[in-house]
Formats: sequence, structure tokens, C-alpha cells
Amino acid sequence: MKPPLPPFADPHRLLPLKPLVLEVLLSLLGGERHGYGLVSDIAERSGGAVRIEPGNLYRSLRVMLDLGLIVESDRRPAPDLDDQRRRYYRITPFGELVATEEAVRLRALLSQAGVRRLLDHRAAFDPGLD
Amino acid sequence: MRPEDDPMAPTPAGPAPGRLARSYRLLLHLYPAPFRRRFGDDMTELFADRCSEARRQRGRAGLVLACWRALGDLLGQAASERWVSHTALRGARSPRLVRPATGASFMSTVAQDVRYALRGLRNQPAFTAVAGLTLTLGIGANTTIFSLVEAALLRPLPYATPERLVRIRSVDLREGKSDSANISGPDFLDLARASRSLTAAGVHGWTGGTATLTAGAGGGEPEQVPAARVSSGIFTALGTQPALGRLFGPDEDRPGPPDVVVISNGLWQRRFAADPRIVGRTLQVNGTTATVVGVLPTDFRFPERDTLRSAHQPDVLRPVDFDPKASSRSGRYLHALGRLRQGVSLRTAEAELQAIASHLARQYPDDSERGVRLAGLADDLVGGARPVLVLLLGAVSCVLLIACANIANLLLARGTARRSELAVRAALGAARGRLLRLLLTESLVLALAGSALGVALAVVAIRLLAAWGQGQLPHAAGAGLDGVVLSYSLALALGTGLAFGLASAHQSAQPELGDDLRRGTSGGGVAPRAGAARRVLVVAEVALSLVLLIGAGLLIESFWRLQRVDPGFSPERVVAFELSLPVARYPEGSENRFYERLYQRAAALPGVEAVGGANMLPLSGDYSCDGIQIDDHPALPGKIPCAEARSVSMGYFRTLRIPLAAGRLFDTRDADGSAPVALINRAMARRFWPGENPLGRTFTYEGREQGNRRRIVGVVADLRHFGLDRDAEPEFYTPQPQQPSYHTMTVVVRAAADPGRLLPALRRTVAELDPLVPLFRPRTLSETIASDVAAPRLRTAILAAFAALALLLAMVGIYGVLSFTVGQRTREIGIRKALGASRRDLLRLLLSQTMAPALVGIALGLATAALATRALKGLLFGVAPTDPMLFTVAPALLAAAALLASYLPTRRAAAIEPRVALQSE
Repeated sequence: MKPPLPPFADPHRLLPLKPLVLEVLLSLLGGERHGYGLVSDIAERSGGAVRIEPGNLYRSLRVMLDLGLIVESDRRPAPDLDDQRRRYYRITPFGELVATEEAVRLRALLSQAGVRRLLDHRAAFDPGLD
Repeated sequence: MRPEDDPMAPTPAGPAPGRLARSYRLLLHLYPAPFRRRFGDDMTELFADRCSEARRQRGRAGLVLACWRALGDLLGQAASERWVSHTALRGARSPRLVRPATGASFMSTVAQDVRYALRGLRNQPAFTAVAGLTLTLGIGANTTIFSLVEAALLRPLPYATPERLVRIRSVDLREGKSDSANISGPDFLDLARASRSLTAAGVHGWTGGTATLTAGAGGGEPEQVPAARVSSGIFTALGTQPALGRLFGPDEDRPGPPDVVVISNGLWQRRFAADPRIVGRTLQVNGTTATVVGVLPTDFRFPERDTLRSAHQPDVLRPVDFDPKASSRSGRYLHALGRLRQGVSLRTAEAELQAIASHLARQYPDDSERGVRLAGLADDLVGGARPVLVLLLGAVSCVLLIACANIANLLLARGTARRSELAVRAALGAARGRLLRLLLTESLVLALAGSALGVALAVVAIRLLAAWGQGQLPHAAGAGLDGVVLSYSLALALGTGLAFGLASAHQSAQPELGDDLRRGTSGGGVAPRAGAARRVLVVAEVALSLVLLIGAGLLIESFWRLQRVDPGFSPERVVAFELSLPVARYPEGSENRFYERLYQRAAALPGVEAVGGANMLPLSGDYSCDGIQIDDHPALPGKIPCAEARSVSMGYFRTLRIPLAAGRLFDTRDADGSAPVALINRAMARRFWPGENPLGRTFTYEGREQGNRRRIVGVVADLRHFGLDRDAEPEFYTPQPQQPSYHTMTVVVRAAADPGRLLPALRRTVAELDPLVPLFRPRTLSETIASDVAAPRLRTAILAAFAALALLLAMVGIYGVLSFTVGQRTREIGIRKALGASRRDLLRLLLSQTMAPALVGIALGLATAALATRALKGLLFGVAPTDPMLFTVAPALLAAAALLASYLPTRRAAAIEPRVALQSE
């Protein structure tokens, strides 16, 4: 396995993030997860907006591991599933950094006047939209 | 220690092995092994879970959709992962987490790639045209040949469980006899009765014979239709069911009243307008009344080579006409087949039948040394075509390989030119896997488009071949584009697309992309690896072309020799036809009077030089070997030799201009009642009276008149009866008046001028003698000779065409390689010239690109050809598979072609002005 990039590597080189990558980081910010847990977490949170297939999920996990955004944690039985030992993943400080930078980027995007206008316009029709 | 490094850690149990999950697990092998080991279990489990969820929520449709998505995801991600894991070792610099521009799913990116590929092809019309044309020709030719192969060799026989059907051959175990298959009636009956390993067996006989048909009693137009004889066992063995009425029963396997016939479906439709009351109607067949008992189904195929696949079938089937008690055991003119009992192997059955045959031989000892051999019916009927078709398929595949090499070369050249474009794409964020997919899509689109046109070309070619190669490809009648053939074409298209796509994509996407952006496009110029790949392709092309050239050369030489063979008679200006006298009106002995009168009248016609008749002509495909006993050298029982028996008229030898070697020909002395005489050919004289004078000697023979002793009055030259490529066999001739004639005779007439013009007069002459005896199968002997060489001619022509195509493609390939090299290295050449390089140095530089690999290719090709041409042995005539002259001429020809192809680019290089070249970058 490749050694992860040194922590002082520039997170901006990785932006913008693929939606799936951001979702994984967000899930892991809430604590360690195993693969299955990631899927259910993301599905719940994004309401099916992000498409998860085994291939793209695990490939993204592999690349994130290679780049040092996440690491594998010890395997232990998952209490919410069967008793099999599962691989757990944990976010690294670098991963947190990247997630934060992405959030900053998204906020900046939403603050733009044009985007704000779009959202206001939409809210007029659908007050439920926040 | 991490869990995965700990050998003692138990592996987690896999997911529940449903069938889908197992398939998914299998497909995971597309991923590289490390990835699979790490994530495989989790992925499978996730997949299984998604499937069950999809099924729960949206039923079957949802499941299918989920599987479809999973498949797309798997294919795409696996490709990317494989590509990435390649370059991951090199320290890839471009980040792979960048989102693609549209964020779309796998399937829509495929659509994107296809559109891009089409645009790219449109923008490069020259490349597209050349590559497209090459593919069209290559895949079109392959599809055509494969459709012939499929029709002849791959389709099962049109009978019930055809793999249990066997051909029963009664063979002559004495050495030097041709592998005949004919069996006699009584022999067959004894075999069939005693055998336990066959559940059904029957005999059939048809040598293109016909019958005169008149409907009803004494009314209606007489029509000549193909007719054959079958025993009831044939229908049982083949599993044929009648469309109407019934088929023959075992009690009808004998001559004599009541006369019954079964007619073909075609005849029923054509002549009787599909009358449902046809069963029970009577017909006049050859003058005798016969009752129609049944109609065959439309898909019935008579089990002979010529009729197996064609629409031309016997219209009238009559029962066999041998009398089990009275017929001679040596009258061998029937073909037998049988059905093996369930569980009995061919070898076992053969051994059993051989034992029965040996027992029969002991019982009837003056028979020759007979044995029984079994062969699968499929093998017997179509096996003969196998060598030629396999040869053609091999040759055309070589052509396709050469075409692929050419296209790969073209793509490599193009790929090198596109490296900067690809570098830009990669810098903008395209993943390597995506690039690979892009290049592959281009190749596949090109391949599929080229093959679509190729298939269209094949349709035309198949139709042409069917019209052209009428008699030469009987097995391939009915060749067309069915599912199997189209699948083959599609597989070829995908295979070739992937082959040259991967070859060029590998090259194009390999190098350090950043370097390419910094350097100029033709800086250090040719990537050394791409250049080497192109030279390897040239070697391969040249080698394959040489093999094809040598193969074609062998066939051409062989055919040329065959053409020059002297058939032993002079076929020019001779017309031949058959006459068949109805048994009912010409009892034994009366036929000769008819023929005598016919010969006289025909000879008197204007424009006729000579007239003759025989029971069979050379190259007719028929033969009749009778056992003989030489009085001076009696043979032991069981070792009785046989010689070909012919009954001929007085004028026969003169009509065919067969020279006399000794003694005299038949004349008016040899009439009915005079001393029985015979003529023999040189082969017979050599075989049985070596070094002696055979004139005046006597021999007896079996056959139509047993025990009749004949005295030899003359020796004639040899005829090639069995084929131009087969030596003459011993033959003897008896005068037609001196023995009961055959009801069917072939009459030959030599014309002073055009023989075809005589036909109407001849028909009239026959009709004057008897209006109910029609004349059929009129032909000129020149046509007969031509059709004997027609099959070798066709395959030689086809192979020569392929070899020429291969040579052309190889030349195009060589030209392309050198042309591109010159273009890429213009600067370098200019520099060299400026530094004082001589013409010779330059030539050496350039020719090393093409002639060096060409010479290697020639060496390789010679070695391969030396091995491969051994397979052609059966098709060659008068020429050895390693003919030294050809093995010298062909390489020289190819080397000359390579030089020629290198000429233009070399001239261009020589014309490069150093000043201009240096400025051009």
C-alpha cells in the first residue's frame, strides 16, 4: 500500500471533491464506521441523492486510503450486524482538513449573489425549502 | 500486527452464496488481486444487500435494474482500478478525486465516448477510409468463408439424432483399390439381418438417374425427373415422417408388382398442385404403372453428398429392385446406412459387422476380399469438404490478422500524434481509466462500423459464390447469414477492435503526461517503444503474407499441372447424353437393336463425324469393378482381382479418339453370337500380363454374365476414368452386341463443328425411333473435363485472391510505417544531411525501418510455411509441399514488394532540404 501523502500536503489540490467522497468524510466525522455502516449512513442522510454501488464505493475508499484521508482501524465484530469481524474506517486529521476546506468552498459558492437569488426564487414556490 | 497481516486471524465468513452473489464474486476477478482481497467480501455483501432491497421495493424489474447498474459500475470501476494500479507504481501526479465534468453515470459516459469517437473519425477521413476499407474487406471475407464452413461442417444433419447414424461401407481389403463404398443387395440383407448393433439400416442408390413420368394411364406430358431407389430401412433409420400417406414398408423391398412410389413434396406441389388425394393415384414411371403411396415432407434431404443441403432432390423414390435370392453378390451399386443402437459405439458395431462379413466371405468364397467399415454419416457426407474449408478459413484469418496489424500501425501513428491532446485532457482532470476507455471506444466503433459494412459485403459474396460455384460447393448450399455466422462476425469485430485498440491505447496513454506538455510534439520524436511495436507488426505481416503466398503458389502450380493432364481421350466437339429404355417395352436382348439403329441414323446426320455408346463414360463419377479370372494366372479364391468393366459400341473409340496400342478395335465381326471378345487398356495389360503380349489371351469375369470367357483382341490407351488427378485403373471393354445391354446407355457424338447444334437433330432422331424415350443430361465432354477441375480451380482462385490481398495489405503497412517515420524524423534527417550524411547512410537508416523487419518476417514466414504446407498435401497434385522453387521465388517476390513499398517514402526523405527541415519546427 502506498504511504499517504505527508500531512502538510495541500488539500486544495484535491478539491472539488466527488460527492461520494464528501459523504464518506462526513459520515466518518461522526465516528468510525464499517463499509456497511457508511452505506446506510449516507443513504439516510442524502436521501438517495448519491448513488452508491460497491464498485465506486470501495474504489473511492481505496483511493482515500492511498491519499491519507482515512485509515483502517482494527477489525472487530459489529454489534448492529452479525458477529463477523468487519473492517472499520477512521478519518485522519488530513481528511478532516480536506473536508473542512470543501465545506468552506461550498459555503463560498452558496454566498455568491447569483446562487442566493436562485435559492430565494425557489423558496418562493416551495416554502419548505430552507 | 494488522489483522490482514496476521495469518492466524480467521477470515470472515463470506456472504450467503446466492446465485447472483456467486456470479458477482466471479466478476470481481476483473479487479486486480490486491483490491479484490481487501474489499471483495464487503463488495459482494453490499451487492447482495442492494439486490434484495431492490427486489423488495420494486420487484423483479427493480432487481434487474439493480443488477444492470451493478454490472456497469463493476466494469467501469474495474477498468479504472486496473489502469490506475498500473501507473500507481509510477507515482501518478494527477489527482484522481476530481469530479468528471458532468458527474454522470457510467452508461452515459459511454454514450459520450461514442459521440466523441464518431466525431474523431469524421475529422480524419483519410484514416477512417483506409481503416474502414481494410476492416470491411477483412471481416467481409471472413464472414463469407465462415458461412460456408457453418453450412457445410457445423450444421447437424437434417435427420433425427444424426449422431447415431453411420455409413456402412463395403470395402475391398486388397491393397491398391479405391475406397469405394458400394455394397450389393444380398450382402446388405445378410449384414442387416444378423446385426445386433444397428436398430435400422437401409440402402439407397442414385447416380443422378432419372425416370420418365407421365401422370395417369397414358396421358399427360412426359417429364424427366430425378429418381432414386431406397429400401424401407432408410426411412426408419433417418426418422423420416411422411407428409401424406405412408412410406415404404419392409415387404416392399423387392422388385415386381405392385409397383409403388413415394414422391417429393416439391413434385407434389409442382405437378399435382398439392392435391390432397394424391395418395392412391397411379403414375406411369418409365412406362410402368405405379401407385403413389406417400409424399415426403418439405425438409427431407436425400442422404447423398450432392443432395444433403441443396434444394435439388430426387422427385420420385422407388423401392430397391434387387431380388434377395437371385441377385448377384458382386453387383455393388448401392449405398448403405444405419442407425446405431443406444449405447453401442461405432467401433463395436464395426467389429460386429466385420465379423459377419468375414463369415459371409467364407460362405461365398469366390467373392473378393471384402470388409466392412463404419463411419459417422456426417463425416461421410460432409467430411470431404473439411480440408479445403479449413484451409480457406485459415487463409482468410491470416488476412484479417494482417489487416489488424495495419490498423494497429495506423492507430499507433495517430496515437503518437495525439499524445499532446491526451496530455491536456489528463491535466484537465480526466482519469487514466477514462482515457483508456475513450481510446478503446474509438477502436470498437471503428471495428463495428467496418464489420457492419463487411457483413453487407459478405451477403453479396455469398450469393456470388452460390451462383458461381454451383457444383463445387454442394455442401455449402444454403450458406447464409444466420445467427451463428452473425455472432462470429460480431465476435471478430469486437476481437479486432479490442486487439488494435489495446495495442495503440497502451502506447498512447503510457508516458509521463507532464513531459509531453513541456516538449514540442515532434521533439525527440518517436517514442522508442511505439517504433519497436510498429516494427514487430511489420515482421508479423510479412511472415503471414509469405505463408499465404507460398500456399497459393502451391495450389496454383498444382492446378496448372492438373490442367495439363491428358485425359486419355479427346473431348473437343463431343456431345454426350443418356438414354433410358423403359424395361416394360424393351425386354432383355431387345435394347441392342434400338441402339444399333440409333447409331446408324445418328452417324448419317449432317455434321456428325462419329457416333458411339458406352454404359458409362470416364469422369462420370460412376464405376463398376468386376472380379476376373485370368486363365494363364489363376488367382486363389479370396484373392480375386477386379477390373473395370465397360460395354461399348463399335464406334466408341473412334468417337472419343482413344488410340489403339495393339491388335484391333471392335468391328462387325463382333456380333451377337460370334466368339466373345474383349479389349483391354494398357493398365490392365501391365497389371495382369507384365512383360507379355496379352493379345489372344483369355479371361472370364463375373458380373452381368457369369463365367463367360473372352479373348483379348486389342489393347487401347489408358483413360483417366476416376479423375484427372487419379491414374488409370485396369479396364476391359466388351462389345455392346455381345451381351445383354444396359437399359441406360450414354451416347457420344463427335461433331465436325459446334456440337451443341446437333442436339435438336439428335433428339429428333431418337424420337423417330421411339417417341417415349427421352434424351437427358445432354452435355459436351469439354464441360465434363471443366467440371472435374472446377473444384480445384475455385479453391485456387480464392486462395490466390487472399494471398494477393495479403500482399497488398503488407505493402500498405510497410509504406505506412516508413512514411510516418520519415514524417516524424524530418528534422533529424535534415540534421544528418546538413552534417554530411551520404545517400547511402540515409538509405541504410530508412531501410532498416522496413527491410530489416521484412527480412526477419521472411525468415519467420519460410519456417512457418515449411511446417504449415504439410497440411496441404491432400490438395496438391504433382507438386511437393516444400517445393524448392516456390520457396525461393515467393520470398524474393515479397522482398521486392517490400522494397517497392519503401520506395516512395525513401524518395521523399531524399528530397528533404536540410535548411527547410530545420526550420520546420
